[in-house]
Amino acid sequence: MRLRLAGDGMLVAEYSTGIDPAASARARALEAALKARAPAGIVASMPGIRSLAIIHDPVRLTTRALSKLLEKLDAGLTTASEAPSSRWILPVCYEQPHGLDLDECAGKLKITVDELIARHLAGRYTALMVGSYPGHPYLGGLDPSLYLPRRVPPRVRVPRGSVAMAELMTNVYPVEAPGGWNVLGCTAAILFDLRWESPSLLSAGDEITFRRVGLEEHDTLYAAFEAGTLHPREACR
Amino acid sequence: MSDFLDVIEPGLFTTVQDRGRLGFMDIGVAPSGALDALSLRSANALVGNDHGEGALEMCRLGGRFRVATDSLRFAFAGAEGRLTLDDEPIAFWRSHVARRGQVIHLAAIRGNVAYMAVQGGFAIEPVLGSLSTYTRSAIGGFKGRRLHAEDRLPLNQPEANPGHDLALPHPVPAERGRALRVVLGPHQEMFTDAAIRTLLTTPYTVTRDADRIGVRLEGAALEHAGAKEIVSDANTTGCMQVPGNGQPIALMADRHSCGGYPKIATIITADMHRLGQAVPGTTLRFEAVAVEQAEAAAFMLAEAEAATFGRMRDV
Repeated sequence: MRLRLAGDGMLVAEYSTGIDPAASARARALEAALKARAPAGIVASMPGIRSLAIIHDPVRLTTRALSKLLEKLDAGLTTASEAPSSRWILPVCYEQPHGLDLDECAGKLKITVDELIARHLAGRYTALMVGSYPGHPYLGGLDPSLYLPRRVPPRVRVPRGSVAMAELMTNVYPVEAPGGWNVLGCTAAILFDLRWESPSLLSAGDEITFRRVGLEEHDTLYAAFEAGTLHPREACR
Repeated sequence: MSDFLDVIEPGLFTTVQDRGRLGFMDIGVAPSGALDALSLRSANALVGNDHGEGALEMCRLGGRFRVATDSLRFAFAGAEGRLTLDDEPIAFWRSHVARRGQVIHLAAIRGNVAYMAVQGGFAIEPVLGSLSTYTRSAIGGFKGRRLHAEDRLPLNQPEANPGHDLALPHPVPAERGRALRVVLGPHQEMFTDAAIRTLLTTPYTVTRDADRIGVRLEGAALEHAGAKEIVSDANTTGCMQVPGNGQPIALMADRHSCGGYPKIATIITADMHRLGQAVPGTTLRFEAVAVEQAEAAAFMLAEAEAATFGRMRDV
């Protein structure tokens, strides 16, 4: 564990500089241990792809005191320390007009579109971090044979629900947003809704798989999720 | 509900902001909140509100408002501008009472942001525990957006409390002109020694792109020692991220929760309200301090603020 200072108000406990599911799991375990201890002065925490970030009030909890606590908690971590996670199965439509970059990606990877979809569907993914946009997951576990860099320049608008990949991760855009990931399809599932008691469907540590749906089922699901007659917490189990 | 503050002219970018939407970083929600939290707290203290209550944050250009309730106690704090009640000049840093139909107007602001607090606060439902507006995702505040003409802001109180108005003896010292203090890191080793020296010895100018998400700076390029990107990790307010072009961006209240650019340094908590008042064209200098000095500065600022608020007097 390496502690990095981000000013007097955030400390980052870093376990790796790369994309590393073990580092991510360790960060979640450290967060669970910290939450169990609940020291005064913690404002927010975020388990990430390779680290745990803790925002704290510098007047109530100094960097030195927090550092000491994190070192002690880290030394006491076991594999059983991790918080329980949820499993989700998200429907994805890979048909056009949703699979914006399917052809281009398959071409660059020198495989067929069907093979690309099959390899993406075969993945068992873990949410390594939820961030950047409300409810936006960074999913680890992408087949390394699908490695492609981000698009340059990024798209100004990636449609809501887009399922995309870049480098060693795949993701889902909860809202329309600018972004450079390669879009393979679209999920009808809503990932973030302020009307829910807990507004983000996904949390770091959750396990995600994708299920292929055709255009017709996608449109039906989309309408039902939008109308609120279907809730992803029940429908995506 | 029939008590409102009516918006006649909204200004350039006026939003409801409070202490911020804290604690939702792990689901990607920005903290938002006042860019100059010290002035927000001052305005609230002057009308007897909880110091972190939601108030109007006006950026660069004030607004024109009509009082649509029996009486309203209000106060302005932050960067000043010509402030009038029915065209009569009135002062910042003290409270006033306006009657039904009176018009409050703040013209151009000589700085970045001014705050208008109203006694009792606005009758707006908090979202994730906060009244702050995060316009990018339409979360919180008044309809999730900046104010428009003809908006009617509902008030919690139909009339001002009895009693005197209050004034602050002086604003909490803002130490204008002094270098902004930074703690180096979290990724200082990803930059050359020359880049660190450059950041701490040369001036940077606030560009026109500065907004609630980040203050883009222009100056001598800061050279990365190797890779120009990292695997995304957490951001916090005050982090100075440096993209490939070497021009730093100081992250503000509406920032992303994480990002893929290395962060060379982080502006200390006690100086963030000063950065919040920086307008395009402002020249900034940076000075490195140890984290213990930053903590001492945060503690001293809190003490100075409490002492100032403790000396509010009747007017």
